[in-house]
Amino acid sequence: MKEHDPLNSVLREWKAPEPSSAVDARVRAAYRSMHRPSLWRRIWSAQVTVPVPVLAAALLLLAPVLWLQFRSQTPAPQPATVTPAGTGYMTRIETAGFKPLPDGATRVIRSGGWKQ
Amino acid sequence: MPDDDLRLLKEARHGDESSFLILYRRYRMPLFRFAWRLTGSTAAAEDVLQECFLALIEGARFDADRGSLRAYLFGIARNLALKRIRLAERESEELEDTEADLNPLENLLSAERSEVVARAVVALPPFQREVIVLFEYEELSLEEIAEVAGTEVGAVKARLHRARETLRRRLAPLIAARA
Repeated sequence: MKEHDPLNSVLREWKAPEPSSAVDARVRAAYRSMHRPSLWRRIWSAQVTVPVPVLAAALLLLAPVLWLQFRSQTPAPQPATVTPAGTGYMTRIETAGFKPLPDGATRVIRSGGWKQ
Repeated sequence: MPDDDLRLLKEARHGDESSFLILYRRYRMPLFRFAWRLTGSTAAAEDVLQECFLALIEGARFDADRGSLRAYLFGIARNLALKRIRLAERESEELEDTEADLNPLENLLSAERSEVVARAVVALPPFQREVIVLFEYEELSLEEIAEVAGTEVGAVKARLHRARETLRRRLAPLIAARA
């Protein structure tokens, strides 16, 4: 149907223009508005561009502040606690009703001499 | 038809803009040319192009088993363009008497050749116009055109034959000058 028909070459005289770049932008904008990502997704994928000199300056300023902060929060050394070496029994002393001896006087009790 | 059309469409529908842009760039020109040749207006063709892609992404039903994405897109563009043609015809009651205005000899003297061809094609009835544009300019097969127009291959052949005969008659001086 198409071969060697002079009508075909005449029809080819009709050239179509190009669509404008404005329509491309319109289509893209319409697509984006249809597929707008959720707030969380936008936050998660957000990016910030920082020039290296600015980043270096910020780090230089921040580092001493952080170091001082860290030092002030370091806890004071605690006295060492002695824990029983073995895992044997533990003695509990009931101190209710305990009365200290007056004037720190001491009384020596001989072995076997204690009577209640 | 490119094999990855379906994959790109799925990805585009899930929000992958790069896939959407590949599809858009692939079919942008053919769809625009087709709409432009049907409507005869750049603005209308651009609107059709935009609506066509948004309809595709918004979830217009495309079944890969029933035909190619290309034919499907041309089908959407065709419906949108015909809607605009009908609207334009309704708005301007006094239609141009294109047949009377198409004196090829006068046009040869006063207008460029492409203008003469354009007017001859645009003067065709819409169903013949779409078939000649899809077949001659976009090089779709008869089967694809039948799919786009929602008709039988036999009907496409008949429309194509009538369109070609009309054009041959209207463009006879140009054809003779070429021969």
